[in-house]
Amino acid sequence: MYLDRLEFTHDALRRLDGRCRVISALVLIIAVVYAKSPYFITGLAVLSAVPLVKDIRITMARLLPVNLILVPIWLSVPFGLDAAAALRYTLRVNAAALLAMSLVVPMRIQAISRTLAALKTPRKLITLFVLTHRYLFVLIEGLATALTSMRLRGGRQRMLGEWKALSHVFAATLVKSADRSDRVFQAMTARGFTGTFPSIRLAGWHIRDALFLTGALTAAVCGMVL
Amino acid sequence: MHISEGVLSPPVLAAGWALAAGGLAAGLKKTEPDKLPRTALVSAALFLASLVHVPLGPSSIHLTLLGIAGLLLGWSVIPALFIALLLQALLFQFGGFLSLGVNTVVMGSAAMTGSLVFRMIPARRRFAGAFCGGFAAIITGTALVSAALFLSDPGLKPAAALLFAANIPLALVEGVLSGFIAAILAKTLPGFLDPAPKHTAPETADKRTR
Repeated sequence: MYLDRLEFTHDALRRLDGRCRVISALVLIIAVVYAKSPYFITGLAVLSAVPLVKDIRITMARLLPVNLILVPIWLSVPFGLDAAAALRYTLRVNAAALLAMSLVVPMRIQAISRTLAALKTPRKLITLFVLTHRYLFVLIEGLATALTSMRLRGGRQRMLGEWKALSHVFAATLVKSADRSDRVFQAMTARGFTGTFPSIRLAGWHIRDALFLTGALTAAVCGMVL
Repeated sequence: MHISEGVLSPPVLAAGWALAAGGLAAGLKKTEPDKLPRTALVSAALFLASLVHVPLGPSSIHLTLLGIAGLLLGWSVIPALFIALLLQALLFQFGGFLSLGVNTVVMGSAAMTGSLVFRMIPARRRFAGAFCGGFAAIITGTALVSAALFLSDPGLKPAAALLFAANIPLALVEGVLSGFIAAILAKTLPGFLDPAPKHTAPETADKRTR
């Protein structure tokens, strides 16, 4: 299973400190939620889409699950919901997603964990974040192999048979991975792991981060007030 | 059951974050450092469950495994779900960052409800217990999502009702699959789904009364 990655296409965004990106993204998403002007929301959406144009295929693929929540909203328009309200939700949902995709999503997991540490997130949560990301790929590998073996052995079955086979695959993957995770942790502890992953690259706050954050805050305040 | 950004109102988002923060604090306190790998594993499994498509007639749906996760982890399921939802938002844009609090409360409540229902049913009826747990988990989660939508905007009442109705088949499938998984785990690793034994004081060898 291949997880398509979004990459920072502009150096200016890549060089920003992780804290600046995360706080700016949150502030602007809050502004999108509060703002009444559709022009402000559309403007933010268009601005956020500019760095994503190069990865348009991945961007469009990522916008699809985001818009699933809008299906019941648009389906309820004949039952009383104002179409203008449904359109407003559509704009907000997509603007917020584009903001996140341009500022936060392309960050590497190591950069995100450093940013979380710099933002005083509990250490256990950061360790859990790093370990989960690691085990994701272990599980993907195990699950993909098990699913392929299942198909090769049984081919396509009737629905209930398929459910039973999938349950076997899930249970087996869970048990094997649980055993492996315990052994890996014992090995890590034997090598001196104390529960946290120390970061040797220190985050640095520059004037460009202060300027970007100030700009994001100003835009957010203007959007909420106007 | 993920709610994307931009749909929920600020008070609902704030309430979600407040509840999620409390749940996270309780969950992290009850997660011992040596249980972190197991918690991370279940978190990764929850993430992957949403990517596996289960056939349902001509269509397919995706699993959540919330009931099973609640059984395996107890209170630790809340940080596990928080991380799984964060990774889903980062890697696939399922859900969102601002709505992470509400999504964590929804899924965490669903998982804890599923676990509670499972434990209420006698251990010898493992399939029935897991079915009811899985079913109850999805119904709880969907009810909370519908409530969050309605509280954000009463005009979304038809959308909330439609979402609830659409998730009932998912709840049934989830129940059946949870039942199968629990039955298989009970056969292969009997202690896997049982809660950890409470520590009791060791019996002293000398039982003479003074």
